[in-house]
Amino acid sequence: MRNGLAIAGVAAAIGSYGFAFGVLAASAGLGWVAVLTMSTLAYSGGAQAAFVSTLVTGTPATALLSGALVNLRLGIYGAISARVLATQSLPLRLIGVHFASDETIALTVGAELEDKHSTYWRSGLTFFVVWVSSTMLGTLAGNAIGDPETLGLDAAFPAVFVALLIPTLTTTTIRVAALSAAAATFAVTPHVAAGLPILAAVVAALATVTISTRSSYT
Amino acid sequence: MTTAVAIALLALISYLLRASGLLINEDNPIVDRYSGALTAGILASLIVSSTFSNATELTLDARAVGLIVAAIAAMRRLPLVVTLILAVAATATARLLT
Repeated sequence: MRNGLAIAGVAAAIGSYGFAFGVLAASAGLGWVAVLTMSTLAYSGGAQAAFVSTLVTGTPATALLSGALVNLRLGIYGAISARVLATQSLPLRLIGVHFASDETIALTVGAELEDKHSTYWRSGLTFFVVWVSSTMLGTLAGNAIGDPETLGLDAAFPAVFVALLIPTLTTTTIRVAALSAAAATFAVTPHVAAGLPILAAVVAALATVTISTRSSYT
Repeated sequence: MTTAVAIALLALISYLLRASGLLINEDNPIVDRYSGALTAGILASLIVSSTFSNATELTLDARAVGLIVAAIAAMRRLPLVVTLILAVAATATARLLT
């Protein structure tokens, strides 16, 4: 089976991250029901991480905001999966689109044309099962671990965010946008409620693109 | 808003965003131009918040060590598993030593 090894390798990574996430979710006070619901229905590692890390110091509303913002790119993933699943019935497409994740899309985009369809479904379903079960196991383990900070587990979120960020820094505009978003976050954090600085970051990123587009016309 | 409601809304929003892709023409240049920067900006903001803050307080602690290690690992394209383990170990060690 093509891509089998790639899928297995990525699945292992997803499983370890899911486990770490589950432990941190437990330390944030989430039980396995909450994590199960999030993992199966929202099914987005980045957004779930943003949600939990914001929940720790903020409110459910700001956690929702962070998670939703991180998930904006899902629209693009949905469009990509729509193309890959174009030959299938609408109900199957409506179901299939749910499995569009960073990793599934990355593997599907990188696959040969004739393999894209099968890669999407095989990786999509595999990663989904791995994610749901590892986050659940992590949550159950988290209740047993006690203090995740002693084990340095609170570094798991920054680590994943940085691992997600680095490959996206492909153009100068994007790098500047990331820097200005970080600067805006620093500047705003002491002055607004927890979870809200991300809005300043969004403004900074959008402004960066707008300014750079304008100046390329002058 | 309770946590349960927030989770339900996150699930709904996530699915709607994905399903909306069935309608989007993915080659929209405006979307392209902004989405990369937006994603990067959001991730950068989350890095700052999850490393250098506790609610409304800016902090500097062992998490920063983990971040530096993670950044180096990520720049070297190490597998995510390895990046995670290194970052977590670095933070735990830094905490132990301070």
